[in-house]
Amino acid sequence: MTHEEDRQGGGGAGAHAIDRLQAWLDGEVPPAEAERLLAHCAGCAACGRALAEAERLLGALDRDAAALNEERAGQPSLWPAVRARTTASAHRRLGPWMALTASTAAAAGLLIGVLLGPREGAWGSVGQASAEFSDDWSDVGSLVADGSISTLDRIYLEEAEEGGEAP
Amino acid sequence: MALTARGDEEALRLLVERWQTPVLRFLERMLGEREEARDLAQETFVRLYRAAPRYRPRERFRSWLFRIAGNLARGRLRRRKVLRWVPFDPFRHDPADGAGRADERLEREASRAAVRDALGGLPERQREAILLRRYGGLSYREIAETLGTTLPGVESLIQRGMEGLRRELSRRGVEP
Repeated sequence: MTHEEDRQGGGGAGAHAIDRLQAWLDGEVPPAEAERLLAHCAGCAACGRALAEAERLLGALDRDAAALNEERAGQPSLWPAVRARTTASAHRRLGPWMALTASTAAAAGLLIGVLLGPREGAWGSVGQASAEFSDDWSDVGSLVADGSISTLDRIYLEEAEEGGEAP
Repeated sequence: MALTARGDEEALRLLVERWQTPVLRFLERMLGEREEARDLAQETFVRLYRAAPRYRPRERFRSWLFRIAGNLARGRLRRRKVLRWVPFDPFRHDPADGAGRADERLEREASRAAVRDALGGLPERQREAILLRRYGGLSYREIAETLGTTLPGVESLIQRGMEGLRRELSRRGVEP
């Protein structure tokens, strides 16, 4: 049965074959329908041509996507920049007073940890936890030192202009 | 995502490492500009981190991620004031493959440039649907969630978009 006959007959896979070609190639039609489409395209010149064209076009898109991957392979990860911004964002959420309180607590914890020295037990854990906390702040300190915070301020101002968070 | 929502840095690092390439591919073809795509990809992950506490596990992660990326891309396009594609500039991009012969590479690049420009000429939603499918690897259901439309709506967007691409390439005399 040809495409036109199928169309005029108003039934079978052919009536909508061209309309569903793309979904079929994308693996988005049920298996039974895929079989009907395949059988139709084998016997219908118009749908066979449309299928070949669609496959070529998908091939071109996939080659472009693959080439982008190759180009991407030589580029640095986004992670360091994302990490710097999310660390600074956590700092910003604390606010200046909380930051001062947290810094004071960290310093006090560190002092206790040093005074207690290598002894095991709950106070030793406090000392260790405080040291880890102060490491986090040294990250923020390095951002301030290298001027990243002022750059972030600009970014946040731009965000505020753009509107709310998504989604 | 649950770990990221609790501020687990390692969980966020894994998400960035796993998803940065498809997000970059999608944004580069949405915007037509590599550096801008990199900026917005970075911004996508920062916003993902901030929005993580609001993430519902029932929602598909890819839909969530690409919705953020898509919103940012559309915002940037609006900010440009001109909803036009930035034409491909070979001097702004590195060659994909240095191993092939020069003429073959040029031909391949010309074909890619034609595809890119044809994509850029599509209506925005058709382009976004095609890019989410071919460059982001999303299913039709995920695209429907990302774009806030139905499954038949996605199928129609992609079908019409591909038809538009085919017509445009044919008009340019380019065989894909």
